[in-house]
Amino acid sequence: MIVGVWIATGILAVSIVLGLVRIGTATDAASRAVVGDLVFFSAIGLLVLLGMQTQSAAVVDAAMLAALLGILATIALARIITRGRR
Amino acid sequence: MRVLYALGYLVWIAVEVVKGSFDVARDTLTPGVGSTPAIVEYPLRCRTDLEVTVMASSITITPGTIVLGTASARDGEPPVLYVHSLYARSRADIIAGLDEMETRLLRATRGRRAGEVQAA
Amino acid sequence: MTGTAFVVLEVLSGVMVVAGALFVLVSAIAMLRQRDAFARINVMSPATGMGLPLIVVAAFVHRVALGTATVTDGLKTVVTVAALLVVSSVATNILARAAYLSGAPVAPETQPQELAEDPRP
Repeated sequence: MIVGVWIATGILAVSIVLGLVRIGTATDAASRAVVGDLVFFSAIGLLVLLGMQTQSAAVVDAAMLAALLGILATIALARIITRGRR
Repeated sequence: MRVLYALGYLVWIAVEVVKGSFDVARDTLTPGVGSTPAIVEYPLRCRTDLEVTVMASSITITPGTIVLGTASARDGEPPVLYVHSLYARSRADIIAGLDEMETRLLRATRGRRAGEVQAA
Repeated sequence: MTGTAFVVLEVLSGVMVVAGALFVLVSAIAMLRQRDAFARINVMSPATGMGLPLIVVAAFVHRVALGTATVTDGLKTVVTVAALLVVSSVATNILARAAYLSGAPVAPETQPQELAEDPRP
């Protein structure tokens, strides 16, 4: 169902745009960090959809690694908003 | 039959995630703000690191509740989780939900009887 | 995979990707509508717990329909879904704690607010 993949790609693109708008309008650093996280996960979704379009086998591994290592980005954001304090 | 309790726990969490996702969707897509945020202190019956970690992760993955912080056990006081809840109607509702989750988890880690032990 | 089975699996994967994407969109809209950082962290879960797992599983169903799926693909899909659920919830715990430590404002509607009484963590 390639139509479904296109629709889903559009919906994820809208989510990322909404996220970027929220990052621009947020008043505290913590909110920006959370929305950044959501944009990251939307990007994983786009990656998987791209793999469905091109029937690429490497995307399966890429999505797995992104899901496993996504925590590093979040921890970095967490350290940044506390200014290095744990 | 702890393996069965562990599998049952996973299925229960999956159902809770689906239910919670629809709750968030309903509030987000209808006009007006339907959320009633609250932060409560929840003393755990869990004792080992594994139990506390699984409990905290389960709370966070369920839409509508997250863990803001933990206080480890000291001087005979149990470990404590600080839980932020978005849609519960009252403090008692939040505690009842967490209590059910913890009972199911303890059954999986300690067997059936342990699920019913009271808070120390 | 040919005939009816192919059509059924393809339609299933199409429905799953759209449903998954819709849950991510719900999280994005909720980010705009919630009042404080903690509520926003809270509404991440529909995206990571439901939306992305649906999309990842749909990709596997799509490969099964095309006949290119292998057992390794299945295992990688299971690992990806497990990572999305477990790793992202640990990450969210860390981010929520950091948000509180950074002094992010708590919405005044938050009632009760028991963390303010006993700031142990």
